[in-house]
Amino acid sequence: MMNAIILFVALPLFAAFLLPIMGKFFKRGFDTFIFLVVLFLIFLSLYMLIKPPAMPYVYKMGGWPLPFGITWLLDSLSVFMLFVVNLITFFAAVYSIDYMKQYTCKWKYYCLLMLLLAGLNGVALSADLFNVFIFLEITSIASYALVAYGTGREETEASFKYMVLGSVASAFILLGIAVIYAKTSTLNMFDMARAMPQGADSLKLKLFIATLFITGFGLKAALVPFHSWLPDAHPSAPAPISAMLSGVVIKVIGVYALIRIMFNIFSLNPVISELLLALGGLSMFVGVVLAIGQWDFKRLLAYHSISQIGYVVCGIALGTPLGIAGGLFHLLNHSVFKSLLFLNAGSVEYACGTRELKKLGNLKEDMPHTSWTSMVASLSIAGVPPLCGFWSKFIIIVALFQANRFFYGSLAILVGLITLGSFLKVQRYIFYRKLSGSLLKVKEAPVFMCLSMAGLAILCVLIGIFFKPILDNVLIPASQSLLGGREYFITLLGI
Amino acid sequence: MNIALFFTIFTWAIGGLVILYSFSFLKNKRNKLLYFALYTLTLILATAAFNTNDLVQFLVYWGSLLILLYAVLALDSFKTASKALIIVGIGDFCLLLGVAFLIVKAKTTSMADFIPLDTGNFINAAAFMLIALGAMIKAGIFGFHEWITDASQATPATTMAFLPGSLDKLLGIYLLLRAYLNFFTVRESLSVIIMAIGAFTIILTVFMALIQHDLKKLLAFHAVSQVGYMVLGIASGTLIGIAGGLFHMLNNAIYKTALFLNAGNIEHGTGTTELSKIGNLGKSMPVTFVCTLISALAISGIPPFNGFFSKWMIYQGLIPDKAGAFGTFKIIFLIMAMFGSALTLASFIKVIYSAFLSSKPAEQAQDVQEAPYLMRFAVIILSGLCILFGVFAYPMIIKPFFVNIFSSEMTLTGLWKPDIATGLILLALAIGCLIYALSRAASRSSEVFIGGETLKDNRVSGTDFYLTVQDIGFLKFLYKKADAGKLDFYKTLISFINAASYVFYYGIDRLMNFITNAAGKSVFVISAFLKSLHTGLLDRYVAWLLLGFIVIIGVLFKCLNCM
Repeated sequence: MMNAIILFVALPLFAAFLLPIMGKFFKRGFDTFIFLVVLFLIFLSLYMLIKPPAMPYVYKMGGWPLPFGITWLLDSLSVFMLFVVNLITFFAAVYSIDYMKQYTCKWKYYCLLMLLLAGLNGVALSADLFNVFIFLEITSIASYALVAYGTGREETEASFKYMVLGSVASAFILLGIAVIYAKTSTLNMFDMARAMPQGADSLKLKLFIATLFITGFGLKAALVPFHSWLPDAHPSAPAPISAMLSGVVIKVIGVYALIRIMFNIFSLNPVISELLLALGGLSMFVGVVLAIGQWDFKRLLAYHSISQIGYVVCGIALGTPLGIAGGLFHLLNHSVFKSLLFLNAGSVEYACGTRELKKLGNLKEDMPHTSWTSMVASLSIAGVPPLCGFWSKFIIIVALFQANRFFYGSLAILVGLITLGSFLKVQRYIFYRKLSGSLLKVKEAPVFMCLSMAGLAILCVLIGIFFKPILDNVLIPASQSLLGGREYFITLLGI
Repeated sequence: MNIALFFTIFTWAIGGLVILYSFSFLKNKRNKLLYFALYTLTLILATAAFNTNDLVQFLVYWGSLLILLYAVLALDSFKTASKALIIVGIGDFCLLLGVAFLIVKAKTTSMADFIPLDTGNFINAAAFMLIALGAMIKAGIFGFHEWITDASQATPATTMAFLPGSLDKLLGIYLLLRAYLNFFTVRESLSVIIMAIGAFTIILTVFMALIQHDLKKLLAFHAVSQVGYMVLGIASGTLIGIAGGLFHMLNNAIYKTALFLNAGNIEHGTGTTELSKIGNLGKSMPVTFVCTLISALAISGIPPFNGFFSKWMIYQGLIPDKAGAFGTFKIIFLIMAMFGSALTLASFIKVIYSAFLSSKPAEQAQDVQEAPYLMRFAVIILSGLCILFGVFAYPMIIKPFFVNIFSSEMTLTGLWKPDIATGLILLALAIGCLIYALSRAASRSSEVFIGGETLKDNRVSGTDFYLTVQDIGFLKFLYKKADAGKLDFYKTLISFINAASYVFYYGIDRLMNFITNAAGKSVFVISAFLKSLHTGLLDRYVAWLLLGFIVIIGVLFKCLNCM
């Protein structure tokens, strides 16, 4: 049964290669096919999450003994990431059924989406550093293509920028991997943790490698000052892809890969912790300040992604059990509500043809479902109890104060306030203000788009209400595997 | 037979009569059903408040009664209603606080289980004072009375008779009684303060009442003044004094209701209660006249009516049995109470004369009708009770109720046998009539001769009877202040709140507003600055990336060197 984890990568890859062939012979049916694939994957990840098999589980590809061959790791953290990825992909795929009718050649889009999914699942599962890089590149390339999917001027420019900056970041990551490989002569992450030189004289080298990774993964995660590609790339993509990019991509290939390396291979160094906190705090503040001045709905959301990823990094970089749990919780919550907000933005654009706040208005009556779901999401991201965003922000702030980080704690509260202000502006301009005449009678988004948004909105509420069981059964075990540090990976070597 | 039953019986008896009266009196009101519903609901809740044994439940009923008071008054005037809500609400707040202290100290909320707390320490004393204040504000004492006099102008006579006239007294005195009998053993030093409040309430408001020229407003002042007697009696702490206070409360409820309902009769007949505009009603409204006379004599404490009996008990309670520390004060309060009683009589002489005996004013209609039978019935019953409870006070009230409540025999020190005395009075009257009849004294009436001039209007309205008291030194000051609204607690409170809110508004709110506005503006300034950095040029972004890398590595190695 545990071998089924191979399906997380194999199935999307298979689907991605099957789709061009299908595209040759069929005109429709892609929606159903993709729906079945993501439905299967979400149930599989849910099964892994709820009925945890013998954890942690190490999958050895081809049966090679541990330091050799390709190794995959399924532990409480990676199963959590898998669940987040497949959850958001599921809703994005459902949303795409109606939304992607605006574009031609749906199978190409689905093909790229499946590649994206395969890459994300691969990054979440891999315990081999070079394998991580390969899946990271699959993800990146798929997302470059998806950002440019509209093939307009704006999209291609954003995609080009994203690609150049992403490639530079990949080069940094590859350089980091190369230096580690040169030092430890292994690519297996467990073995790497064991062979990592300890002692004062190797500290300089480790900090250099850490800097390479922080720069590389920091760009993928869009931490300030490496964020510059995100406000262009995320709004340009089709709405479900924006949801995927902001919801999971920056977290999996950015935050998750970084924390795996920083915690489990290096064992978190206080200097690195301090640096990540500083970067997180800077992202939080700069992101939200930039966001409040925006008038393009999706661009505003993109800046908020930078700000919210700052919360996640701040929480996790704190290194305390509560901080890590809060950070991971915020990662989950941000995936849910930010995807939902991007889907809302997609619906608004689908119905009105624009996403300029100043040109929109009075959509509360015309688009009731979009309105209420976006209200739930806005309140969640602003941290209004009892919705999900409140609890994770609350836990992070409490953890910051507990660790005597009063500056970052206060900053997190301040940023929360500005976030609230910014989303009040969004709600007012798009949904609540009365606009005389300039908008024609707009229709509510089609049914699958509404279903997808409603599902995510209900999730926002449910997570908020059942935050305690989620925290106890999912997030605390997940944070344990990070807290185990280098020793945890070394023990896995024996399995 | 316990206190609750005593209160319940008389609440329903008097309340029932008022409602009966209202059937006729409020017949032409548009929303009369609402009046009946609210009156009945008030009665039910008051019964619940009297009968509950749990302090928290009691507070709930008490609070509901405040809301009902607001609702009843709001049927006629929102302004008066909100004034009452605020003034009585302050009393309720005091009560709530006091009860909170009480529950903490007594560690129980069941009234039956209370072991009386000694008011020797500060918390207990504070709890007692707060509860007593809550009770007295509910009953209406000087300073917190303004809503009652306002309401007398705004609401129909039945509402006045029902709420400030009787029910509020019953409730307030019930609570004060509980505080004295169940909750606390009160020290003399605190009692003397309460007694002082009572005595000053009597004397100050009765002076106010003297100069009123509207019947209902005059009665409203007396409704406040009479509370003083009850408070004085209960706070005296002696058994006879407490019983007297309780009895006076009952008597007051009876004759004050009767007086207000009589005022209602007059209003029904003439359309006004302004004393200068009515006169000579003794002929056209004989029943109202007689009933008013009886009630007026009762309130003034003329034997053998009930008011005399209860006042007599209170006076006895005040006479110190031995020369205690506060004996002098008690004597002073006693004199004040007696003086107040005399002034009460004076003001009612004015009422009786102006309304019933003076000649008819020009603006009054020719054919003033006596009130309908239902209204007459109610006032006759109440006036009858005034006589009955006066003459047969001992067998009707003291023996069946008070002996049980206080579980001891009542003995009066003075020689006052109401039955014998009444007999003697009646006998004297009869002899007087007999002598008058037998003497056949001749009398003749003739024109008044004023030097040949013809007198156009020789009517004396009676409203100006006591206007000269306004010129007495101390009273001059008092009336002036009252006219300027300085004695009005409500107005003082509101102006204080206004001043405070002014200070807070400019000192804190505007300041914070300025600061937050500035902070909000600065966020947008930073936002605009950062936005200007995002030019969308790829080379600049790559430069940031590399710069970031260099800065990070620089910082890290700097830290490394420091370590």
